[in-house]
Amino acid sequence: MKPMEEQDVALKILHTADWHLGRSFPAFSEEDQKKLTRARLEVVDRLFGVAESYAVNAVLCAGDLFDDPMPSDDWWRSLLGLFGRRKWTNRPVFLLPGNHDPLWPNSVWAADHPFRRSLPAWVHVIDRDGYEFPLSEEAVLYAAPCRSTAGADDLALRLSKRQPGDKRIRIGLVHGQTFDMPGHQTNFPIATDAAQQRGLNYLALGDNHRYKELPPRSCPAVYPGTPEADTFKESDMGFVAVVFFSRQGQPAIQKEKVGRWHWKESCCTSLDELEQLRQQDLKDCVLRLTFSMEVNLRERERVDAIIQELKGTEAAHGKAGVLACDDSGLELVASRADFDSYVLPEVLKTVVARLEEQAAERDGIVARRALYHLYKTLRISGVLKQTQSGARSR
Amino acid sequence: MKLLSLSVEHFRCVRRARVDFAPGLNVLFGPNDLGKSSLAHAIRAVLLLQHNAKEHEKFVNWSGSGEPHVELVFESEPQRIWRVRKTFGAGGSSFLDESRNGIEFSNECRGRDVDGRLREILRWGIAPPGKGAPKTKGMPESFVSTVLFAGQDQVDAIFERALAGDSDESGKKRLAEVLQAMAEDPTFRSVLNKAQEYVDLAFGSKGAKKSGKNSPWTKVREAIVQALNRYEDCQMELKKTAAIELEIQQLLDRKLQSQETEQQAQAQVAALEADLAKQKQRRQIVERLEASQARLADITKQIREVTKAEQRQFDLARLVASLQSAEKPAQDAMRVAAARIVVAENALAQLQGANRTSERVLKHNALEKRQSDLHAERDGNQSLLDRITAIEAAAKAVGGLRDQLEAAQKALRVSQEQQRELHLIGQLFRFKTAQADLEQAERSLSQIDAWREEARQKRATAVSLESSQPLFPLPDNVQLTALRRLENDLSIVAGKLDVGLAVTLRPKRDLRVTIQRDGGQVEDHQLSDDWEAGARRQIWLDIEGLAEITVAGGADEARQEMERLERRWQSKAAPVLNLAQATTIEQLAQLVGESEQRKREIQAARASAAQFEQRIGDQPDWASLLAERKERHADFEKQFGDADRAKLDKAARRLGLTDVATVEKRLETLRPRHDTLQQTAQKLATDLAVEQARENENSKALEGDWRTRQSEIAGRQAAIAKELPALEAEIEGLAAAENRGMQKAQKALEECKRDLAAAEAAHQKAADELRQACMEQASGEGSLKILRESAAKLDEKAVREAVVQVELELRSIPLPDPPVTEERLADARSRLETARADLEQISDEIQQKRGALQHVGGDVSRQRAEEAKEQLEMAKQWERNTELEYDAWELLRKTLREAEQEESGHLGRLLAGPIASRFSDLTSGRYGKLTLGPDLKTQGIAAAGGDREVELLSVGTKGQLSTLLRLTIAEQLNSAIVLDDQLTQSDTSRMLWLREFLVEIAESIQVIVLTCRPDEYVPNEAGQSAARLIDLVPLIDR
Repeated sequence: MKPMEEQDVALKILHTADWHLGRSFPAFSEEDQKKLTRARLEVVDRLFGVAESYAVNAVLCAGDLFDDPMPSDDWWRSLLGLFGRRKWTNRPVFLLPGNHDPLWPNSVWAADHPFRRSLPAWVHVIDRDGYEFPLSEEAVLYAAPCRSTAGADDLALRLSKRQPGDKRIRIGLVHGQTFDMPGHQTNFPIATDAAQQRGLNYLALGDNHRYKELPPRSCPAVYPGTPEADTFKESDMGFVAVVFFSRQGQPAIQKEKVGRWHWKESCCTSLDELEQLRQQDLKDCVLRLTFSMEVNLRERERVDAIIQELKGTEAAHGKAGVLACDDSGLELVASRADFDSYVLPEVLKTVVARLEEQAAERDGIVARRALYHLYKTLRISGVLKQTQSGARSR
Repeated sequence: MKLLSLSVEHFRCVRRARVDFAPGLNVLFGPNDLGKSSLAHAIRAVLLLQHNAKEHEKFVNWSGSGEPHVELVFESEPQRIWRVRKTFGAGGSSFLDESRNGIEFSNECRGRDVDGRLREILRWGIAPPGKGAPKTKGMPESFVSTVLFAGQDQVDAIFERALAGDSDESGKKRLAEVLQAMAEDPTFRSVLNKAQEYVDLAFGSKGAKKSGKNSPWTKVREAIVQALNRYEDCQMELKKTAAIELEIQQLLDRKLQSQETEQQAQAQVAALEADLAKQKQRRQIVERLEASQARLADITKQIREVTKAEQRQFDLARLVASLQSAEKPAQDAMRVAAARIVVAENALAQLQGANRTSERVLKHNALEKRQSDLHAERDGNQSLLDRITAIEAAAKAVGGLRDQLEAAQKALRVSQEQQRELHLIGQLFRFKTAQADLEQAERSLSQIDAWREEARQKRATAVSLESSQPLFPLPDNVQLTALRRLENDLSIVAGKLDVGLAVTLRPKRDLRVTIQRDGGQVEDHQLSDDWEAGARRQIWLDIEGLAEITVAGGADEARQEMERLERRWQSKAAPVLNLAQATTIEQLAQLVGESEQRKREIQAARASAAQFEQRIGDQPDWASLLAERKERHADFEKQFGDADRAKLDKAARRLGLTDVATVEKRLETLRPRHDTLQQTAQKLATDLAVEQARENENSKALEGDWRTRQSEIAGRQAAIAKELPALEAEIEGLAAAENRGMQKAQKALEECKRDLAAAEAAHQKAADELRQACMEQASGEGSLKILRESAAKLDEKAVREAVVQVELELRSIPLPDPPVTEERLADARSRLETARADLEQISDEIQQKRGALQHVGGDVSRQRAEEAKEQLEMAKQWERNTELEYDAWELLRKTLREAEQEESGHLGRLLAGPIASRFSDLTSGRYGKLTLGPDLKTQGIAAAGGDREVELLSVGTKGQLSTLLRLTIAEQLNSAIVLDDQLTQSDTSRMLWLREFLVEIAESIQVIVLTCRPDEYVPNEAGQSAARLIDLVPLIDR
């Protein structure tokens, strides 16, 4: 639903930031890392689709588009591929260097870099201070790039001030963090009232990975956040901002979901909880699964089976899109009672008894795990199952 | 093991014999003294005794013909058939040949090596001959050899022997293996195998963690190393960031403190300046008060002077009036006297004649005229002297005013000089600032040049490193891993093919043979005798060009795998190695590693160069700034000219001036005083001009310099004063020269003249007094007029009110306590300047640090450090899990092993059960549990409710127990056993049981019975077919 009538709209823009193309996720398995890194490029294609569906007049990309100023060829070539699929001669795209991909002489933004040389004419790189671009007769864009990974200057305050009599829609585009304590912020501080100070109708920001709108509504400063979530620590990620400007310059913001993955942390305290989790649709979920529960050998076997089902095998996809499982909170309680209903040879009974003795000790974790190995081996070999049913005994 | 055939020549009583054995039960029978035991002995000898042992003497054929020779063919395991040939004696020989089919044999070894090899094959617990082997007399024996091949006379020997008595451990180990296997549970075995499999995957034979590519630790370690490296790199960067941020924070704290200090100093300066201003204001007020008071005093004085002058004028008027009234009688008296003189003179003239009188009168008149003229001149002169007095007073006033003017002008000059000096000091400070700016620009340019050079060097380093990079593509880690895997696979398959090959050539004539072993160098040999060639995997032979033979070891699958891998090696690895000019994958990996390292160095050099370039880019246009600053500096230099800067510096220090601002301040302070001085000087100059005009006006009347005129007039007055008495005397002398007669007249005249003189003197005195009074009155009138005019201008009331007002004003401004001095203020200002300089320096440092922070990463490095930490924690968690996983497998394996060993370590316990069971069965339950020691030493047997020693058993029972024991062990060893008439003392029923038992056990092992009573072993009905009866009579040639 559009926030204002079409005839009242003077300008439409799509505001995005923090793509972090090429970002690695070393805390995940190799296969999952690939899923998560590829997702960062896939979402760019989706947000371009959103730009087309809203027929925006311009796309503003507010920094940290690459995770590194010198990303590997794969990333910038793939991004070029995405641009190549669009024929947006009347829809300029503005790429702003951020603190992760600052405007360094040898960076991907350098004029002689093959990425720059291959960009379509309608894709513009903000490669100078005091950048100014007329978006229309009624609107103008001002921008300033990050030139280093850290800085104490307020880039928003570098943008030119509104001159008396200037009635145009003025949009600012910078990368940095809003702050409350002057002089104590080193990551490109942005004054919270920068938009007001510079006479901007809208200040397009990047750096914050969660969606955030800063007042006032008449000239807001907005972080659209990263379009594809990338951490368990934050929420409200995976959006772009589609902004409609009235002829009076009043912005109306549409928060548009584009991200696929949602990152979820789940700590199971019982087998039932785990069973319920298993029932959920987790195919687009990056799941961090931890435990805080005691299990006996049979329950542990079930837990392992569910983890396997969530994770998947070489033959079958897991129920969870991406799974990071930490089973250190699973307290294994193992004893000969787990074997009581089975008939074992004497020698194995001796083994069980000895391991149980050690398992009862304070540092008996290895012995408990050894009992679990024994249990699983006997289960896999069918001995326990068969003997349980009384089919065979020696 | 089973025996296939035995050939004996010249052995004890046997001249020649040959027996072929069958599997199962072989009953070799013949009459006594046929040589059955010799055959059993021959088997033992050929397997256990060295051909040159002294013991052989016992084998020498009783007929003395030929050397004892024994050939035994046996099968140690399926398709491993051995033929041992020994000719005993000093010149004897030994051969061991191997065959797979029992027809074609190849020589395994010969001579002394035969016995060593045999003992390896048999594993009977007899040490191989040679160094370290125990010396034994007679036939070497062991527990197992006794079990399997005990002689006829050794029925009880098995009870005496134990594994502990063996010369090596091979027998015990073999028995332990088979007995443990016998006792082992399959479930237990499968669990143990599984545990062992995991343990072998993770740990080496000595328990150390494996490091091979398949080791679970390898990936974990790689992950940890990778994570740790990344973590350490990030931490280093983060430390730099944190250090700089900490420095910035400290600087910010310092800045706050410094700002506070600066504010305090500023407040103190402001307070002092305010106090000083108050003090100055007070001083000005005091000055104004003093001036007002002085003015009031002056007015009072002037008013008093007016009053006094009026009183004086009043007094003078009264005096003039008095003198004027006194003058008239004197004039009258003088006129009377003059009239009397005329009378007297006339009288006298009458007396003196006309002419004389006329002359005398003329002379007298001339003298009197002269006297009168002198009097008039004297009066005129006196008038002039009065005017001169007025001029002198005016000149004195002018002098005073001039002195004041000079003083004022001097003060003005001093003030001007101070201002000029301050101006110059100000210029000096500006010059210094310009000079500092210039130096800063020069330093910055020099720094930029240094950075540019650094950047150029880094770029050059990067280019140089790039030129060192190979021009061809090197494999990446994945490819390298694949190549390593291929190399490893090749090595594994090569290991499978590495079975050991031996080829024996027995030329029928001289032969030229070319051989190549394992693809090595080609060798040529000329053969005339038997020739053996060995290799590990492959032998290629060319026999005189007639035929080529290739012998290759290993299974077909392994060879095919080898070919496949070699093809892959040629297609995948060889081109890469050739391109890289590397001979091994390790060398290639090293090249790849070096290349990667160079790549990293190139990246680092470029990043470093970029940082320097970034820094240069961030700098302002120092060249332009330098030009501007030079120009400015030169302007100042020019403005300075030859001014003494040292002197100015000194003056600045003396004056407590630290910068342009303080100079301007000081100038501002000086300016009002200077203006005041100027006004004063101008006023004095005006006053002086007025006085001088007045003086000039009076001087003009004098026609010349009043001082010259004063002295002239004074001199003229003195001359007149001198001339007048002389003239009087002459007049008197003229009178005296008259006649005596005339003396009376003259006397009267003289009296008249005296009277006249007295009258004149009185009149003169009165006139003088009157004139003096009139002059004083005139002078006083002028002064009074001036005083009145001045007084008329004075507003005493206003001045009084002003005094009161100023006093009130003064009281309203309290005197600062303690009073402010210029030194205190200068000190406070100096502290303020120091605080400001500190603040400025801290601000500069903060800017520098922020600049430095731009080059170390800031929040980016913090985020990356967090990621790296998470990665490291995950890797460590993985390591802990892996350790727990494999430690658990190792614990399980260890526990399984311990339990197993406890169960099966006691060999006797494992074996005793089956034997006791059989023996009990044989003896219809008479005997129970058999007790065997851990090393199978027989310890006793349960009978009649207690343990009994075996020695206490009957000979027959001992023989049966011994046979059961031996057969059971042989069954476990899966080995042939020779029973040389062991059961001669058995009764029929037990013999029957034993016969059935032999038939049963012969189904699994070969049993060779030597007996003279074959019917005891071969049943008439059942099982007949199971035994093979061999009549030795036709086979033994005695």
